[in-house]
Amino acid sequence: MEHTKHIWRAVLIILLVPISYVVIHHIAVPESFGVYGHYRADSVKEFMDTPVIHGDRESCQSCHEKQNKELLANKAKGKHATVPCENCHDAVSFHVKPDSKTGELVKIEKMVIVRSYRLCAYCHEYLEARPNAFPQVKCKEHVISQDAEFSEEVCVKCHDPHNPSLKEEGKKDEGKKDAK
Amino acid sequence: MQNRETEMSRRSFLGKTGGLAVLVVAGGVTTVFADSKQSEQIKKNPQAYDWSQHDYVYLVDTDKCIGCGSCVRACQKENHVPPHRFRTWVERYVVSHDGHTHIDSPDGARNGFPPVVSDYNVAKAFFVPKLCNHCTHTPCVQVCPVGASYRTKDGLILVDEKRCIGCGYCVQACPYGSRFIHPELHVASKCTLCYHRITKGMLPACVQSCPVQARMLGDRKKNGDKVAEIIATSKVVRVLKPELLTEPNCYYKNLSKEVY
Ligand code: HEC
Ligand code: HEC
Ligand code: HEC
Ligand code: HEC
Repeated sequence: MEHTKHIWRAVLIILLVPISYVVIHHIAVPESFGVYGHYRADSVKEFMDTPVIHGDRESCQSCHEKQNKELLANKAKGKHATVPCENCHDAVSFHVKPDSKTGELVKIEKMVIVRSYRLCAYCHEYLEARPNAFPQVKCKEHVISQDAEFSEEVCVKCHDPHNPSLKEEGKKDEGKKDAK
Repeated sequence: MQNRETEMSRRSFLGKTGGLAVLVVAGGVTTVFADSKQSEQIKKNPQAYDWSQHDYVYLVDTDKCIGCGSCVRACQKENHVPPHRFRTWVERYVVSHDGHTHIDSPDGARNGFPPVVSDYNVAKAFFVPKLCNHCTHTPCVQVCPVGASYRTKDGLILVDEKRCIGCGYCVQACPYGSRFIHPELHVASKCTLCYHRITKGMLPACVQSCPVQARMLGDRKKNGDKVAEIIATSKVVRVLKPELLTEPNCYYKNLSKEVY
């Protein structure tokens, strides 16, 4: 059988094609690829598993309900009711964390408190592009027009950041005294 | 094939992806972080999220936006977006009487907008928040050579960071400029509509942080969904660049004609 060698070679080549396909496919294509479509199905779960940083609109209540009952009630009835706590402070997960054993939430870091006028200016500095109905002021001119001296933390001396309206009398004068 | 699509219900989804064990572990977190009915269900049964039961839509009301940048800051923190890159950003349009449009977006409005002194007569000015449009027929998924970009059954476009080779074709292909190459991970990155939040019944960080409800999330498969209702019935809702036929799922209400 002088041709045995050639037959074996042919068989080898024929076998090599499917084997290399299997090997390369195994290496190149991840396990869950193609389950739902042309992508890795596990990727969806990985996205869902990403830790949440910000809370929802109720996430401060559970703890601060007791300590800051007035503050919360005050905010809920004022003009800043729609402004989320986390916009002015910081994301809740930087401040609290579930305890590793009990799962109960515990404070881990001090919450950020920003008193700078720059915070207010994000939303209230006068800009042509803002809707006209939105309350806005030229910060520096506004403070001077209220007979106060401008400084970094001046806004919160007159306005309560949790309920900022000063349109009622009485409240107005109270603010002015503090700011001078 | 058809069968497989519809069968992709809770059971097979969870089986194949190994279950949503995280939600159980994070039980303590969900009590603070979630409030809606859906999240109540998920709390009781963490495997309750079924992606065949959702079809998300996003709505921006440009008349309401005050350009404060809260959404940009929240997105940046929620998704660890690197500096000077944006998954969402806000543009300011100032249109003069002679029809010229001036557009700016300083650092994506991460620090809001400075007042500008214009040397022309302003006819109108407004803000336009931008983000990934989560298009139904999207070029970014089509051009991906490795199957890293894909469309989920609940209607979002995601990028598998482990799969992405950072070639940047999708960044080029996106007509809305919504993608960027992450400077450290060297992979494509973009808005996920906070998939980790919406699958727990929470709102995306940008929607959540908006103080004037200019940004809204809807769900076409939810009965009586208000946002889906507005999109279906309003005559002043449109999409960006409709001529490209990408069928965006991000809609704009009261959009001025200067924006494309
Ligand atoms: C408009 C921005 C703004 C919003 C919204 C806001 N805060 Fe504050 N908060 C401030 C500022 C500014 C201070 C510091 C006030 C001061 O020292 O005069 C503060 C102080 C506090 C303090 C400390 C008060 C004290 O007396 O020690 C607590 C607690 C607090 N905020 C909780 C909350 C909670 C809870 C929410 C949401 C319900 C909230 N804040 C929403 C701006 C805000
Ligand atoms: C684990 C429950 C818990 C949650 C949830 C929580 N806090 Fe606190 N927070 C505390 C505790 C405890 C303190 C310390 C109070 C004290 O020392 O009197 C505190 C203090 C504060 C302070 C004062 C500054 C400081 O850190 O001492 C502010 C402001 C504040 N929280 C804001 C918030 C805001 C805004 C949220 C929601 C985003 C929030 N907290 C959610 C428990 C909580
Ligand atoms: C994230 C945006 C945001 C920030 C930051 C913010 N505000 Fe406001 N503010 C609002 C919104 C929204 C309203 C409600 C506007 C309306 O009623 O149309 C409002 C209302 C007000 C009003 C009431 C105006 C009126 O008509 O009575 C005052 C005053 C005010 N804010 C002052 C402040 C001050 C001072 C700060 C800084 C401590 C501040 N705001 C920070 C969003 C913000
Ligand atoms: C000296 C006290 C004082 C200080 C300081 C002050 N305000 Fe006021 N502010 C007032 C009073 C009083 C009113 C209500 C006056 C009115 O209705 O015209 C007011 C009204 C406003 C309004 C509502 C305007 C409108 O059109 O309805 C905004 C917004 C506002 N202030 C923001 C700020 C910001 C931002 C700062 C800090 C840069 C600030 N204020 C500092 C006293 C003060």
